[in-house]
Amino acid sequence: MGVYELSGAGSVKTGRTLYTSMNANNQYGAMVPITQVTGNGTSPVIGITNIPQTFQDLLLVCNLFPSSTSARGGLQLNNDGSSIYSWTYLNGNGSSASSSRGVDLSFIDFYAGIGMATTNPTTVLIHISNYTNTSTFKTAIIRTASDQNGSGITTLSVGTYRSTSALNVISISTLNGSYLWNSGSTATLYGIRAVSS
Amino acid sequence: MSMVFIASVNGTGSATSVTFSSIPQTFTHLQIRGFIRTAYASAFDTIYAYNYNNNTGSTGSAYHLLYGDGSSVAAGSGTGSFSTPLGYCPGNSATANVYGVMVFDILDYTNTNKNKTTRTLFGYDNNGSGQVGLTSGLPLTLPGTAAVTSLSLVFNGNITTASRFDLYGITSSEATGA
Repeated sequence: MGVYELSGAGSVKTGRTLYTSMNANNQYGAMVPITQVTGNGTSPVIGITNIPQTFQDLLLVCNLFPSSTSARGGLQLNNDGSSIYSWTYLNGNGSSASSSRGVDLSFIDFYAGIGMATTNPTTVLIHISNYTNTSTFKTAIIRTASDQNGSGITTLSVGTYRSTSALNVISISTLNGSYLWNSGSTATLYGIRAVSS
Repeated sequence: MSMVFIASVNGTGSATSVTFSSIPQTFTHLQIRGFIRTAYASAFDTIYAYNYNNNTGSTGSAYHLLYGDGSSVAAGSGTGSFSTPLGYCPGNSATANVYGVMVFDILDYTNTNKNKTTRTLFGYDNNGSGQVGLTSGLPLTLPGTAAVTSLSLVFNGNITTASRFDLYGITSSEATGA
C-alpha cells in the first residue's frame, strides 16, 4: 500500500509523492489510513475485510446514522458469530452515570445496550490493540458520543473477543437486519505502525 | 498533525516496570499505547506513571479517576503521591489470555511554562468481570513545568512477555514530522 505525502514542506515536491516502502524510522507518520466504508441505506452492516496484517494497532473512526432508534451498535470481528464476546461499559446520559456488561455474546455492544439516535450522528472511536497477535485474546477500547440537544449519551466501553486469531475483518452492525445504516454513515479504518510490526 | 512512532518496550516477565528514556523533544504531544497483563496475584493490577525525569523521590502527583466495573460507577482522587494511577489491567487470576488496553496522552510535554496534564483511557474485560475508565494526572513536582524527558510505568506484578508499550509523538505540523 502506498502512502501519499500531500505536503511540500521541506523541499519542492510534485503534487503528491508516493512512498511505496515506508521506513518506520522516518518521519512521515505512524497513523495510516487503510480504507473508508460508507453506509448506503440498504444494509445493516458496515464491513471492512482484508485488513492488512502489517500494523501494531487499529483505530476505527465511525460516524453513524441508523434508520431506526431501535438500532444498536454492535462490533463483530472476523465474521465470527460465536458467543465469545463480552463487554463492560461506563455511560453518562446527562443526568446520571451507569456501568453494565454483557457476557458470552456474539458481538460487542458499544452503545450501552440501547438504541442509537437517527437525527444527529453518533461518533464512535474503536481502538483495537495487537490485532495480529496469535497468542492473546483481542481487546477493544471504544468511545462513543451522541448529543441530541436535550438527550444523548457518552460512553467508554471495553470489549474482549476471546479468540487468538489475527483480525482481518471488522463489522459494525445494527444488530437487527431490519435496521439499516443510512447514507452518511462512515467507518474509516486507520493502521497504527510500530517499528517492529 | 501526524503521529510518529518513537519506541516500543515489551514486558520481560521478570520486571514490574518499563521505562522510556531520552524522549525526543521534537513533538507536540506524546501518546503511549499499552497492551498489558501482569503476574500480580489478583484479578487486576494498577498501572502507575512514575519516575518522571528520573526522579523517584517526587511526591507531588495528583490524579482523578472515573471508572465502571460492570455494575457500578466509581470516582476517586488523590494528591501528594509518588505516582499517578493511570488505571487497571488484568492480573494473574484474570481469565487466561485476556489483556488490558491503555491509551495514555501527555499534552505539550516540552512546554516549560505550565504543568503537565495527562489523560488515560483504560479497560479490560474478563467475560463477567473487568473495569473500564479514564483518569487525569497532574505530576506537579516533576516534571512540573519541566519538559518530560523520561518516565516509567510501574505495576505491582511482573509484566508478562506478551505485554507491550508503544510510544508515539504527535506533531502539530504536516506530515514531515517537524
